[in-house]
Amino acid sequence: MSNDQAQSFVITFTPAHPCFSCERLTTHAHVTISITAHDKYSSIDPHIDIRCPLHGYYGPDTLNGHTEQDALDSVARFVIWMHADKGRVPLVSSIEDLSAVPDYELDEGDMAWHARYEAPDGARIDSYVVYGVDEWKFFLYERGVQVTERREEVA
Amino acid sequence: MNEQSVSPAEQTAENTLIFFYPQEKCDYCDRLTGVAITTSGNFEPLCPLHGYSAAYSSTPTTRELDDQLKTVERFVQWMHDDRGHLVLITSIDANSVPGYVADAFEPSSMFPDHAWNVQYEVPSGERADMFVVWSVQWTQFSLYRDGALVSERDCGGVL
Repeated sequence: MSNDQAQSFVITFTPAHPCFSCERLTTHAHVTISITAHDKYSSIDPHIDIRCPLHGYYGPDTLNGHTEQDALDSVARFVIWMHADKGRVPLVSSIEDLSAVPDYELDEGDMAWHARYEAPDGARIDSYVVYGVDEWKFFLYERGVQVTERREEVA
Repeated sequence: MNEQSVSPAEQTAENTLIFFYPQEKCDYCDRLTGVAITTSGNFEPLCPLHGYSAAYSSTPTTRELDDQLKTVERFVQWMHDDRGHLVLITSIDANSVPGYVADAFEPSSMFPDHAWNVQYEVPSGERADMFVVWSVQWTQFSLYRDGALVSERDCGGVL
């Protein structure tokens, strides 16, 4: 069993780099600094994890130092990205019962959230987001169906 | 294409210089910095004094060569209170730098220091020739001017 501790933080950087899961350029990353339990004063191997909004799920785990808030932030980032990087997501909450997601075919291990999207004109859409552990990417569901295209490009 | 088959190592087999926010501490000192070198998933924040973007392999890519010069220029500007710019950078043998003495304990044939002859231009337009040395052993830059080591920044900070 590992006794490692870790701290994680988000950076915005330039120039943009390809996502580690696809070739999409992105300027957002998580940096993890692991600290061994045996030597708390020396950090080892700072690690940068560059992911686009589609593949950028930073779920809570002690090994990478990601928190529950990191997970919610990555869901919100994905939803806004699906809406052409406009608007905001004022509410995200995880849901346990994935069968509540309309049009979604249950797959073991997937995770889901309810997300409220607010467009720049104030219009709100209650949506669902699923992270597919087999596909390593997010899926968006709005108005009872899966959304397969971004506002500006195919997701 | 299977998206999961692309590993970080395959994508970034080179050192890349990034400018990031918010700032982090340099890996070698307590200075805050917004510049880092990334390699295959590693993240190394580096201040201007300790931040030389060396090539990942013995065959530098075009971007790595460009990044090397950027870090040399960054150091010289930092030494001059972040003002002015370089108009010329030429790679030279460290032993030809006036005032430079190679470390007696360094296995010089294995990892010789890197050096550049630079021409620095202040905002008023005045130009000055100087030399920059990157010590492989001490992992930091040094600036030489008029045959002597410059040990203070223009803003007064002692290195």
